[in-house]
Amino acid sequence: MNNKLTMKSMLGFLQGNTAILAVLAMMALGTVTYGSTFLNYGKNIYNVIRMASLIGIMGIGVNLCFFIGGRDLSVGAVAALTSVVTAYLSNYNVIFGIIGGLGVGLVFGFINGYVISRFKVQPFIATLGTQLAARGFALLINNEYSIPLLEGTEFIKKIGNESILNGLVSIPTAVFIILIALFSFILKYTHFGRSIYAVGGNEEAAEMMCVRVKAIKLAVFTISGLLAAISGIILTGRLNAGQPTACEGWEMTIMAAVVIGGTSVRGGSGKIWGIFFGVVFVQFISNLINLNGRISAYWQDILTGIILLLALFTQAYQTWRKEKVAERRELEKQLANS
Amino acid sequence: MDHIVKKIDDFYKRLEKSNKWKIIQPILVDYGATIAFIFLISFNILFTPNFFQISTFLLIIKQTTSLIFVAVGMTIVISMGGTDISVGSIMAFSGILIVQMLVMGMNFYVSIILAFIICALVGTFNGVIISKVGIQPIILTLVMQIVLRGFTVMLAKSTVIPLHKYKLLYRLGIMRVAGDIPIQVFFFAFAVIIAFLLIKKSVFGKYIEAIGSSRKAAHLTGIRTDFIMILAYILSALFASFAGLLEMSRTAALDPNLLGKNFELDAIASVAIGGTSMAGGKAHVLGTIMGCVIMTMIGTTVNMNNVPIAVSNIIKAGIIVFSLAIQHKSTD
Amino acid sequence: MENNNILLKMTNISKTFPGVKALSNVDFTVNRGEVMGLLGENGAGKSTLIKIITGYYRRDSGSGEYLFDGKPVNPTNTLAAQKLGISTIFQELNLSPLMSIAENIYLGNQPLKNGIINWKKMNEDAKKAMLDLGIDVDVSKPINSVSTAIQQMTAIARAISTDAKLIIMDEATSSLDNNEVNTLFDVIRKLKAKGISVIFVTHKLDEVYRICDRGTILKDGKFVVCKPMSELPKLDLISYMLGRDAREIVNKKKVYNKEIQENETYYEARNIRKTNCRLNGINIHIKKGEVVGLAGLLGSGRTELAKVIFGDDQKYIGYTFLNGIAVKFRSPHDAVKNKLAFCSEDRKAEGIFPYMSVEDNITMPQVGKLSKFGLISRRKQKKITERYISKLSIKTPSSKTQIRDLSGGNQQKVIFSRWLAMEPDMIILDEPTRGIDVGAKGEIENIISSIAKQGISILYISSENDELVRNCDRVVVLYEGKNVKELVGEEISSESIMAAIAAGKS
Repeated sequence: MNNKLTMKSMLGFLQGNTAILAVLAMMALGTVTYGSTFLNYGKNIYNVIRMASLIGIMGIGVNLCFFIGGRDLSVGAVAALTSVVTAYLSNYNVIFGIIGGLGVGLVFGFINGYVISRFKVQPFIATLGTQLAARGFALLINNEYSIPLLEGTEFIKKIGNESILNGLVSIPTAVFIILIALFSFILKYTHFGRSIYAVGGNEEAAEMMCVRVKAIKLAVFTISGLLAAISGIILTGRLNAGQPTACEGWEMTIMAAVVIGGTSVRGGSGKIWGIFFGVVFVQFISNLINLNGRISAYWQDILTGIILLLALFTQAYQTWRKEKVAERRELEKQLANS
Repeated sequence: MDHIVKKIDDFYKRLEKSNKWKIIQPILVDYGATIAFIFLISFNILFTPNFFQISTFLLIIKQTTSLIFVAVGMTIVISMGGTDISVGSIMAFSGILIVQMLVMGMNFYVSIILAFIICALVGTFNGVIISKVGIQPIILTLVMQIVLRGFTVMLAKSTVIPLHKYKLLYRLGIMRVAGDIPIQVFFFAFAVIIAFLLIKKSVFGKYIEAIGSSRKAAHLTGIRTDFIMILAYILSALFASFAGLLEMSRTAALDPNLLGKNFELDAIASVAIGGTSMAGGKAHVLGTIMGCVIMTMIGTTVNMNNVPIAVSNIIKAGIIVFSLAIQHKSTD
Repeated sequence: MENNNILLKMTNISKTFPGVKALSNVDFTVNRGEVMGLLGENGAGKSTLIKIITGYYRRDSGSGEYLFDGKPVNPTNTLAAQKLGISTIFQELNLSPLMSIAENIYLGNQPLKNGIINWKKMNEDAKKAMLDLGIDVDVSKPINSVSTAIQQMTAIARAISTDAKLIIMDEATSSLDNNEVNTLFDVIRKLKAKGISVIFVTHKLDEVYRICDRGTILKDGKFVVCKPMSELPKLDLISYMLGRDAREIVNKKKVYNKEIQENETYYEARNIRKTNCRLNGINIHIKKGEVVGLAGLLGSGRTELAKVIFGDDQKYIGYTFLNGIAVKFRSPHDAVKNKLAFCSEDRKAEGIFPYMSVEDNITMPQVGKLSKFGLISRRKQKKITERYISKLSIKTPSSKTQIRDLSGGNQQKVIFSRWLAMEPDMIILDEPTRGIDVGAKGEIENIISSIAKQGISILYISSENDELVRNCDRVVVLYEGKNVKELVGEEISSESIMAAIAAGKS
């Protein structure tokens, strides 16, 4: 009896969290098609999750922007610029490198946040602009060439490549999980976190309820920039170089991860940990394509795009159905009254 | 942090409240492109060697032509209150379609028309999803941007295809008419006329501005808003596919990764600096065209002065953000 | 000592908008623990007064005095007013739709424990606060999943939790059913017991008698009277609201022309129902050249019916006929093609194209006809515009001026011109005089009567009954989505309409 109940509640939980289901399905598919090659933790899944974490750290920021109903298209370019700046400065001193990298994220995030909150422009136009600028600076610093990490930058290399817990969890993954935990906590247990949802739900109402809407928007976009910078620093270590062309076209992958993770495009609701499964799912797609070897790598983007569209359709359908149900409920109420 | 924000705020507020700003702001919005244009011209005449020559001007026009087509489509979509960032990829997609059909031995004109029809279908898809399903234009067109780029690179098998084999296509790029004028100049003029008629003079243009102004009011005035919106995205895709043809013939090669890349950003920047309202409702065709020329000239200026090309990206980004800032009007 | 009992005292308040004097020298006082009814017809200045109290508008500088809790105050925005202890519960509730009831009550001052939000305590507090109001509900439910009534209670609980001394309820009952209204009134009585004052704004007169201690009546932006409800019989109240010159208005009544009733029926709608029950089987017909008024309270289905007729709303059941032939408009485009026109009550959002010129605004529905090969003829556009600018005497610097720079009355005339230029067979006017000052109102009404003389059928929706009396050949009274009464010719009067609405209630 008890067993049944937990089974039932677990099924219900899975239904409510499609991302987990999707990841499980992906794993099943991988196991069936490639067997142990796929399931080999150290050689395959570990790598997939490490790559997913790299993307996911940026994804947290993008997800926060989704919560307030905004979009951040600049994260990829900001991460690339961070990686170049970090590599450049780290060759003098690692601490400079990290501070410089974080500074880049802070500045670009702040510009995004400021322009969006004060000039009331659509976030995507502003972030498209900063994307262009960040990419421009990244290409400018070393004349479009990547900057290799020299001697004495072991710390950064370690961040990108080593692991903890006997090789069970890579450092990027650890950072990712810690950040998810941190932001889950902030979103649930602080005034700031709750205000983010309030702004996303209904800006006007939030204003009436004494939430400082502009400050929240500014903060969220700044955090998004900072997270992109963290991702960029780890990427530098991973590539052993600052790569000005890194992360191109990641915006859609990240958005797909966010939406599949269960965050509504309308804002105001959602949980941050969904991004973990979203991003792992998206990485599994490319993993399976890579393992196959015969399918063109471009199917990754195409498939990701199609899945993102499907997820958006599902969201649109659910909203439509909810309205329908609400309408019927009102009708029944009216009939009961008369 | 709070302190710094406040200082910037105070500065901006003081600027907005000042009487001078109230006079300057509308001028900047309407004539910002002209001012930037004059500035760029004078800068180049003074500092850039070999700038003040007919050939330079023809070169600039030649290079701007494809951007103009994209930007005209973008002006339509943005003044309608939407956005389309898939245009760059549509350019490449139309290019690869044409080339693939030529490879298959199809007639040049037939393949162009077929490619345009397919791109128009992509535009139809964008328009239908945006107007009927209500998915945000930015997300949908971002997906289309990446998906179409993926298809393009796949069809091209990731290699740059030289176009010297395809005589008509190659000739289109280097053709000169009426003496020594590149054919692009005529396309340029054609684009300007079409844009002006379509946006400023036609019924369609009026409907576009009406929808951008207030979609609900437009609907209640008897305008078929969904239909017009779909049409706008179709036009945007068509203009982009024509731009793809021009760009590919001009460079005499099809690079599936680079053809049309960042054109959507250049187009948005041109529209923004041209004075079209980014929130919709007001189209500024001549401003957009001026904006396109400015975008090309930034590239040329940077190039001719031996400055890294990436600098032009930064300048363009600055232009976008600056245009957004001056378009904002304080509400109180 | 007596002064201590007064919570809010406003004397000599004026408010001028460009071209309109919305309030002139209004006095308004609210005692502690009192329910004050604020009454008046649309445009009487109720909402302007409320917005001055809550800091949304500022009163004209130098005019009058605004004392709250004995101190002169001048809130600059809604937040400042909230901090003073003035909370407003709007018809459109300002709640965060996806958050729980508990959070909506405490957002911004959630109880903390060790610096983090104490959810357990918050939910317990919220539960208690709701139980205090007599509502037993799961406070962890998201606010958009509960009924409007509970949402309202949440807003009230929030107001109490922020130590509100004065709660303003603006049309709070318009979307509640009878039971819910009863609960709300119980809550208001509890608020009274706590010494909290309430300003109650409503159109529903019998509710005023049920809950209010005193009533203040405004008319055309002027203070009329403030009396305890017990000394204010219903008929007096209505005549105060309609103005003392009620009899003169009756004299101005439209001359009844019997022949119109013998005209052919132009438009007919049979048994119109909507699934959400805003329309419950409405039957209506309009003859050629007839002006049919649609009376009823807010939420009686007037605007919904207009949108169904105009094809803006597809989700209905029922039959519609044009000239006796069954039609179904799938969009306003269809309706316009069949020569119907519609002026929305929400002129700002659904009527004007704010950034476009007067010329474009007037010719928008017909640019298609004014064009050759898809290109618009500026000349024809200009001709039409100039004709209507002079015909309706629209005051505008030029035909190229952006419409948002015009006054409300002139904007409305532009919209009238838009439809008249199309030579329609029928016009639906939804609150055509809303937000327009008194002088322009007369002009608008003159235009309407001249339209009717051209043989154009008019469906005239208004919540101002004397307006219907002055303009209509026949008035259909709606109540809760049904037509409950039809008044023809001589039967139409402000009182008879009022009586029909009141009768519909029981």
